[in-house]
Amino acid sequence: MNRWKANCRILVSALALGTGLGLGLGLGPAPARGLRDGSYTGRSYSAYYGQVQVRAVIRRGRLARVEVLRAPHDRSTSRYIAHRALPRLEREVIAAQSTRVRHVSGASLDSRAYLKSLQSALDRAI
Amino acid sequence: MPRHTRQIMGMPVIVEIHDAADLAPFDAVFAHFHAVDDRFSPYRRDSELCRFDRGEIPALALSPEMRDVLELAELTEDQTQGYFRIRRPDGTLDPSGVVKGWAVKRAADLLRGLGHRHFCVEIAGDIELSGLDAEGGPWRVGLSNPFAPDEIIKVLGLSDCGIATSGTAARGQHIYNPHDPGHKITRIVSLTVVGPDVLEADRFVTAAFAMEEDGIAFIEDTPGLEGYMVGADRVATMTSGFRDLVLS
Repeated sequence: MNRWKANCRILVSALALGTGLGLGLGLGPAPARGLRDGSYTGRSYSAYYGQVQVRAVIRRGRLARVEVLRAPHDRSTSRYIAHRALPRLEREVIAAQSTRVRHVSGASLDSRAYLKSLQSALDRAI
Repeated sequence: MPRHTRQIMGMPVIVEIHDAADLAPFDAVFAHFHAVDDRFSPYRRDSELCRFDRGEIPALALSPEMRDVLELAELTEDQTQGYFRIRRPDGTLDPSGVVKGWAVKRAADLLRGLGHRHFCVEIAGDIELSGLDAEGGPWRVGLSNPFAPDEIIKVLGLSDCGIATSGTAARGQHIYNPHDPGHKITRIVSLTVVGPDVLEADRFVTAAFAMEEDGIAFIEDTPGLEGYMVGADRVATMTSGFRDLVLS
């Protein structure tokens, strides 16, 4: 399971238990039950590098699933072709390295924007 | 301790300095990131960004920092055929695509101004690397596997440059879930750009990712940048100079 999925699971568990998130994010306490069944789309929030929007799916009064509708960089509208560069590009199949490193460059989703969008989706389910 | 981490702007900020005598430079860098968050936060109603967007601050009264970021955002929009946008479709001002890289670059400039030479500053995968690491070699930076973020697919040796990666684990998840009608399947899952500094890497990676497969060709065509793009088919495409940066 990747880290993102793991984070989602922890987050969903925390919300479903109504524990609040305790992350100092200023979110109100998450409702534990009594939510109306259905799908609720949260507001779109700006992360530092794009928009984040989620939809909460409520089943039997509980948060059953969170779907990410918008994530940073979903901005593509038209296409730009740089044909002359293509012959110089090298391709390979990605493969895991066993080496350990202290610094990693990789994609991440801004957690606050995610949580705020989820909170606004849940507010609509009350 | 040459390495310290704090959670700022909802993301981990990692600072490693190998020629620091005490904690003062670390404190200076973290204070800088808190100030950036106060000024540019889209969540704080009283941030300069929100107040300017509501028309409460005239353009002439903007801080030099805000003007710098807005100018950079406009420049980036010009340089990337509009793939980078300073405003969202609803008209809201959103320079967030350059703030992160700009903030890391400024932190590195701050450390250089204090006389430091061997350090790295990182926020959520955007990294500026100066001089050499603890072992006296180039900084070893791993690229994470967008399909399994705990896994490293490339190790680079970097010095006096910046690196940034676009793409999200959330996007990767869409690819595992092709039957969900709410999500479109995308053809690329991550793009990494190495540039002369983290700001250049960050603002170009943001725009190039939106170009999908053509983004790597755009990076190839832009002087001073190298890139590594991972496709949804797990095939990577790299620019002609990227191989020179690879340790393993």
